[in-house]
Amino acid sequence: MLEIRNLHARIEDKQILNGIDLVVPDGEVHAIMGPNGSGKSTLSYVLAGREDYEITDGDILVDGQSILELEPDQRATAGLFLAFQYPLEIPGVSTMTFLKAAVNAHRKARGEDEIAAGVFLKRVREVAKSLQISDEMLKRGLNVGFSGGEKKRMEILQMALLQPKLAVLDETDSGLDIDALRIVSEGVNALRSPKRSILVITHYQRLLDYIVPDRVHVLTKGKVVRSGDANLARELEASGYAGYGEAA
Amino acid sequence: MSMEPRIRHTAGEEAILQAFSARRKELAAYPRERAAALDLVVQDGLPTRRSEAWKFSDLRAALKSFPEPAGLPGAGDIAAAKSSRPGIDISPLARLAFVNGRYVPSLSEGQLPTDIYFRDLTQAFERGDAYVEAHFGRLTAGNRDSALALNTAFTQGGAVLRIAPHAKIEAPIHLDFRFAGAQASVFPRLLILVGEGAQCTIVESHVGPDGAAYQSHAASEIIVGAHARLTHVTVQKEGDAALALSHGFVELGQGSCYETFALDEGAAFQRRALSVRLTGEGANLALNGAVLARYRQHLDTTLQVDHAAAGCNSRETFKYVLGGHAHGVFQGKIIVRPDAQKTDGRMSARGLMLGDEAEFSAKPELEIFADDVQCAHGATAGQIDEDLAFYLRSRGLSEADAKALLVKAFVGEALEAVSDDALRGMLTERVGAWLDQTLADRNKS
Ligand SMILES: Nc1ncnc2c1ncn2[C@@H]1O[C@H](COP(=O)(O)OP(=O)(O)O)[C@@H](O)[C@H]1O
Ligand SMILES: [Mg+2]
Repeated sequence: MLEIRNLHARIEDKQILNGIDLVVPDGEVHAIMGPNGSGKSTLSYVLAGREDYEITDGDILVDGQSILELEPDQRATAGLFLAFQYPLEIPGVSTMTFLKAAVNAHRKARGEDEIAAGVFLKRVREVAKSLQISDEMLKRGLNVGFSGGEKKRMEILQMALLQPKLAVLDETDSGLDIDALRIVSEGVNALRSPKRSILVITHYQRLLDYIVPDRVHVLTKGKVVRSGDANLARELEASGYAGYGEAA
Repeated sequence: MSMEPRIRHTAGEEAILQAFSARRKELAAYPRERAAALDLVVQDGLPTRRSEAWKFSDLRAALKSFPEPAGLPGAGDIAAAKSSRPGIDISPLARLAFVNGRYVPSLSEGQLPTDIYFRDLTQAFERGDAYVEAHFGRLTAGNRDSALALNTAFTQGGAVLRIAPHAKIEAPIHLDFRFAGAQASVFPRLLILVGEGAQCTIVESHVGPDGAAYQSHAASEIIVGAHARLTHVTVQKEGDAALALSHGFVELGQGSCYETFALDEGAAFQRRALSVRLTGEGANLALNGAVLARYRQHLDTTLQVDHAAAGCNSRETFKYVLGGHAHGVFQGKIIVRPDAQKTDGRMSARGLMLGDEAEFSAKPELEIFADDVQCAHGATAGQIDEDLAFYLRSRGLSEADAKALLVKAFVGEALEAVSDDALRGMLTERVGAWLDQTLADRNKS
């Protein structure tokens, strides 16, 4: 379960989050929708523990424990996963090497031995196949030369391998064509589970036709201004964000 | 020695001249070359920053003393060398061991096939070896560099290695140079001739004990015949108090291919000078390297790539990882002569700074005298990308592991140019070991 309480955050002198309250219980999928610049990515980075942001007030709790003092890697091994809006390219680090390092970091935190090479390879191949990620892509440098859609699928592959308790997906739908959108959504839906909380951040309602949320929250100017069920997303699609003090 | 010096000699220079006088009798081989070399030292003294090629490495200031040149290694030296480690782990065709610049058969291993000719260089010269007479000093001649002259003036022993035309040698030949002793100067010298159409791989390693203020003044001449292919990997892990200078001269014949990688991580003060002349049409050069420096190390690589024939390609990529108060230097010059049309030359050097105290000096240059050419060069320096580190940490990697992975990736881009998997693996391991130790030291402090 994720609880965000009165969260205020700023970067340098710019206040971006202005008191967010949000609870995502176990087993639920919540969506955050909002116009560009409303603070959606900032929220996702703050959750993941990026150091450029200063938390000026409030708290973030996972299963009742504050995570504010945890380093980004400690948050990750505690079960938090962020699918980046813009996944980074790391030339010289092969995708396989990276995936293995990530999986082993999680195992180490649980006091387990490194994963056996054969087991790992089989698992990666299995998930990669369902996401239509080729062997050739797995050999390349991480995200190097991948299209936008390929990068997003690679994020979901990582999420599937790491099996987080709490997943935050930042505009995983942006830049996807309809086929890719379906592949990615199926990947996310496969990970829905009674023990997992998922926060889907999106600008458009389209994604929510595929990943149907339990709750929808509207974020503008760093604050949740309205919450409702899945119908709220459809309503927004028709009206835009104009009624929320923003241009559509 | 007939000419008057133009300068006042430093204590180091005086010691050099005295050491030479005291050994004049033993230094009988190469009389012409030695006399000219000594004249240069007398007249010019050691190089300073006033010389363009030494712009960032003041040898005259660094070489405060000149330890006695090492004699033939004694039983004690050989035993000490034997207990040291070669610094690399490969399965060579043969390992040819040198202690203090002299070939030591009892430390060597493996059998050379008949299409490889290998001899002590000085002995070969004294016996009138026609190849040595024809080629010794041919590529070094005309270089007015008194640091190179030190090798020529004092060298004894060394090796000549000749690969017969069209020989295809699969496994690498390991030239294993070790220093033994406390304070001495050594002068390794190599003459390598790769015959027309031949193929071979040479791995050269240079190691010595930490804490010993020795000096290594090395020089090599490498002639790659037409359509021959030479892969040449060098690992420099001299002791932490050593001064290590090396001067490499390479000549590439028509359609030949020279692929070389230098990994430099040892010595307190190092300068690797490498000058490659592409003299035959369609020659290919891949000249890459990684420099790993920490503490107060000063590691300099100075390259000259001279396109003297048409239709040649050259690629140089150097990566510097600099921690502590280390100073990394890269100087690279591409020259394209008037006849070298259709030249394709690219050079790049990048520094990755692990801290604020480290320094990277880079000076890439182009001198182009032909019109139909493609040449590019660049040099950049930066720190570990925090965004990339955050991405890795968000997947559970600790800060130290994330940074280590990014540094390995940085060096890995240069290592990609090493086409032999086993050699690339060996170099990757060395880089990993250096990095693990450097990051562990950092966490301790
Ligand atoms: N590093 C930064 N420095 C300054 N301002 C930033 C930075 N990152 C984001 N912002 C600003 O914060 C606001 C919210 O940005 P962001 O969280 O990316 O919004 P969204 O993801 O909803 O489009 C924007 O006005 C943006 O310009
Ligand atoms: Mg965003």
